[in-house]
Amino acid sequence: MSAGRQPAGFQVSAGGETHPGHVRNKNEDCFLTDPEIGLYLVLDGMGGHMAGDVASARAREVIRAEVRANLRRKPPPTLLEDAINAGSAAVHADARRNRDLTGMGTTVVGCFLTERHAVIAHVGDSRAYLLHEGRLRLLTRDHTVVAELVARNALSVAEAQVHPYKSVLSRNLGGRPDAKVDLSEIDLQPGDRLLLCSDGLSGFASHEAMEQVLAGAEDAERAAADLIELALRGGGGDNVTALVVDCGPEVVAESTQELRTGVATAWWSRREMFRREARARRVHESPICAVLSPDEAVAIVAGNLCEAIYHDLEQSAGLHVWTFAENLASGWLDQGGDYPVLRDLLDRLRESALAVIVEVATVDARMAIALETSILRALIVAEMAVAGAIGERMRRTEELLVTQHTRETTAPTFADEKTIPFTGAHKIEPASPVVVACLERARSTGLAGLPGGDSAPQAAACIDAAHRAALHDVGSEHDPMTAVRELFGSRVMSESALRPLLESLDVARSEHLRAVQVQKDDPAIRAAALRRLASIHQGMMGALALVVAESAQAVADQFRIATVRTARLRAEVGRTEARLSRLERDLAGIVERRR
Amino acid sequence: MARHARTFATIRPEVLERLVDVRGSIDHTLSGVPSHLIRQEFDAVLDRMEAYLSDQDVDRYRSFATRWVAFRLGEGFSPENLIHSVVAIGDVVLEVGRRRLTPGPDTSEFVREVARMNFAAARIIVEILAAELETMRRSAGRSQTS
Repeated sequence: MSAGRQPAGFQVSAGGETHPGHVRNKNEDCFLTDPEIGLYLVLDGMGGHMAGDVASARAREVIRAEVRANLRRKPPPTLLEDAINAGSAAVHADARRNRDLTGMGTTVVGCFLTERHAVIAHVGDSRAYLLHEGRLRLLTRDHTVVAELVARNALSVAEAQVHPYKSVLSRNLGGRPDAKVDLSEIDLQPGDRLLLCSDGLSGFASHEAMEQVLAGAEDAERAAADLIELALRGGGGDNVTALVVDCGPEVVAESTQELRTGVATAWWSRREMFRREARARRVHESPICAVLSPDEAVAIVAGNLCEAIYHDLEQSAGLHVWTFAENLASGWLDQGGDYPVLRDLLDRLRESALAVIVEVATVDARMAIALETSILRALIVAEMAVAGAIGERMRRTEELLVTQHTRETTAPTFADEKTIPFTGAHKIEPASPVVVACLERARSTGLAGLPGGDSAPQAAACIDAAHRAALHDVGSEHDPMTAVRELFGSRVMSESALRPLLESLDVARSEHLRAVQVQKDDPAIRAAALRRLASIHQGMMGALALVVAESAQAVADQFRIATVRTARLRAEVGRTEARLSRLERDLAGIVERRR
Repeated sequence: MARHARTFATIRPEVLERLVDVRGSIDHTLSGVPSHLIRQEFDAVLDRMEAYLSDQDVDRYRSFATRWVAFRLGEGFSPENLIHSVVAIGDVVLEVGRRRLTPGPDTSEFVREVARMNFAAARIIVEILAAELETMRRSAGRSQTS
């Protein structure tokens, strides 16, 4: 009995037996169980010819080799059909080459197990049955001349059973290079039992007896032996072969913790192999490792990555690999290194890891899948770290570009032409010389009276700006709007940028007005200066609000426009992607049909 | 590969619902996008994923990713957010797959296939970002010399 890989998600076991029967000396039947790939075959070499056993054995080996070679390249039905055709071509070619083999051929019935499915293929009169919940069901239709006459209602079932040509095949392997293969797919359940057999069984045992034997046998091997016995008791007039495949209980996944520990251990136990693979892929020749000896390069780069992956697998985290990749990428990019060099090194390391996984697969296919999934996760983390390092450099470069752009476009002065007419309280008459003198003194006093601290320079600038505005007429380059534009400096909208300016304006206003009040001028002169300055300071505060509103308005407008455009683009992209996808599917269909 | 695409197709509706539900944690800017629009966008991404699982055509996947990245960068996604969102979408596929599919060898193979796809996507995004950085650097270099 054979049990191995579990391609169907069940614990599969199979047992087969063949016997020459009581009449023939030679057994031209043969069978194959290959649990590793989930392939099971029964072949019946054509008994009336010289080399039926050669034909069945040759077809069996070719079919197995073809399935193994194309296991992951073709969908199961195509895989099995192509393999059987290759078997037919090989038998046909051998028969043409060797006169002793002329006319040889064979039947075949095959089963390829996939996830809870079986693909059944057959040519000739070898059969497949399914025993499900105690009931036996025939899955194939014989390719005999008589069976086809019955199918066309040209012959009754009773007539067929006694027809002299009831064993004459209408299809076989070897008669022509390509056999006409019948294919079907069935869903399997735990407890199902598949039977593949030659006509030496179905021709000498009743359906009911076969059902009873199959349902009663304790395992696949016993079932096959009992079926052979049944055929022999029924006369044994032909070679007889029975192959039984049992679908046992479902394979139960191990716990996540168990699997994780197993994966980490499987990786760590192959650390030397990973280093060897890294060396074989010439990791040490990467320009990133230029200052290291080959041994150091492999030990540091491959060794550290190997260790980082191990720790992350063990802890189900990503920190170690992230740190490794971040350091590697940042270190290289900071010294002006090119991305393709970094990419090349990362790819070599990934290929080294995949080589280790290939080795694991030869020992334990399931572990290899779990390990590859985990390693890929670690490598995704590494890619994220590299993206972070690149993103950081993108931001730095963007800042540089903005600085360059700002310097080019706003070089002369920020005070561009007025976009908001300012009609505030500073609309006043030209100052008289005595008021100007008072203002000059008040400026000096006000500047001297400013409290220290971070806001002092800006408050001083506010006093200066108000002073200049107070000395000039509306519309001059020294009006409050222009002054505030200069003070505002840049159009940053955050509170942290505005608050110091507001505080400076406030401090400047109180100090400036207090400075006028302490002058020894005539009260009327001080009053005139006060009115003028109060008006100017009020105007500056108002101007600030307008400048902020002006900037915010522009941003808000842009945002609204961007939102509308983004929504339109999103809808358009969605529609286009759907259209593109449909076209690609249509194209794939056309290409497929042409093939 | 077609069987993985078929498996993906069976869980795709649930993946889409989950993506729409958790879009805010994929990237906070997505939480403000109306459901019907984000559904359309995620559906396009899932369509590509299904196609990739079926044909393994990296070039076609790359051309889609390039357009996707261009839009996201235009919307103000940072490079970190960008790759995070791509990986997060893949993680949602894995999460739904693990929850909905029966444990067994085929599910393990499907999970591995999705992990391979996620890695391919992450790698493509990094390549696009690196190309963008190179363009910016060249531009900055030209400005400095002029």
